Amino acid sequence: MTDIKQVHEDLEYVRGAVNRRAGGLPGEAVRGYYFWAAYVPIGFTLLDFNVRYANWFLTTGALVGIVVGLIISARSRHRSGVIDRERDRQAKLHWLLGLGGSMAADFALAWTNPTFHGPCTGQVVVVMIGIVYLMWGIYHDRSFLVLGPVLMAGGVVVSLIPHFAWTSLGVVIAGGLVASGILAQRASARQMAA
Amino acid sequence: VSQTSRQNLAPRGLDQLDPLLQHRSRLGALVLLSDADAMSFSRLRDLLKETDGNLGAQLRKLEEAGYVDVRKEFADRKPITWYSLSRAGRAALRGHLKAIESLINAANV
Repeated sequence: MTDIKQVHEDLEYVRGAVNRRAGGLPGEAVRGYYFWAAYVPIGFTLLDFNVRYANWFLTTGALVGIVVGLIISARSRHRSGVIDRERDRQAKLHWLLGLGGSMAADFALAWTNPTFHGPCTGQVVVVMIGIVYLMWGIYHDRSFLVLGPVLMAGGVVVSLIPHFAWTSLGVVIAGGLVASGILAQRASARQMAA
Repeated sequence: VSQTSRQNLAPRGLDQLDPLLQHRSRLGALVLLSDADAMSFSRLRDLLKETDGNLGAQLRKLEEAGYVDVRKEFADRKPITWYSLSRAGRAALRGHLKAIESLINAANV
């Protein structure tokens, strides 16, 4: 006969399953972190040596990154075994509008304000992208709570580093991405084992 | 819970519980499906920590009752069975959870 103890045990069981569902990213999606971790230091190092090539590389790479991100997202749907269109829509809106909006705002600032130019434009876009990452960390994926502030702080302090500042920032961001990827994978494994 | 209070629970919630959802795997599957458009069999199995055989049998009962819709497809030449919550399943889950809430409130624990 169903009694209250049995109901509690069943609800505990369901709660465990729901908690596992809430935990972490599937492995496929984490690969996106490693793609950016490989890409960002190359583009940022170029900023220290050849700004023209860097601008070309970073702009092209951003477009390639978006396509790669969409492919990873589609593949991870099959691997993760979850179709959640609402979350997919939120992710696309967040990243496309967040990253695209940051870059558009940065270009608009540089275009309308003559005093806003040079390395300063790069710093501002890095800080804004850090905010976009932080927001994703607050609402969706806690591993981004580390990466967002790293980007924001890096964008500010890069002007204080006398030599190879962008290279240093690129390496720090790559480290942050790798750390976020490892944290996300560990969190996912921990949740599934619980 | 004393015998007296257990007897008091019956009219307030027990009779409204959906018999099909009194099995925790079936209840768990519907709760998980309520938060996604669809989930694969293997994902449900991993989240619910059930064996293939047991989960397959429980999901078949939900399918026969019209609580879940089933769709099969191939990805990378591997078959994937997707489950999604039907309208009837969502209504049944809502009613069952409401009955559980009444039970717990009545038990005063």
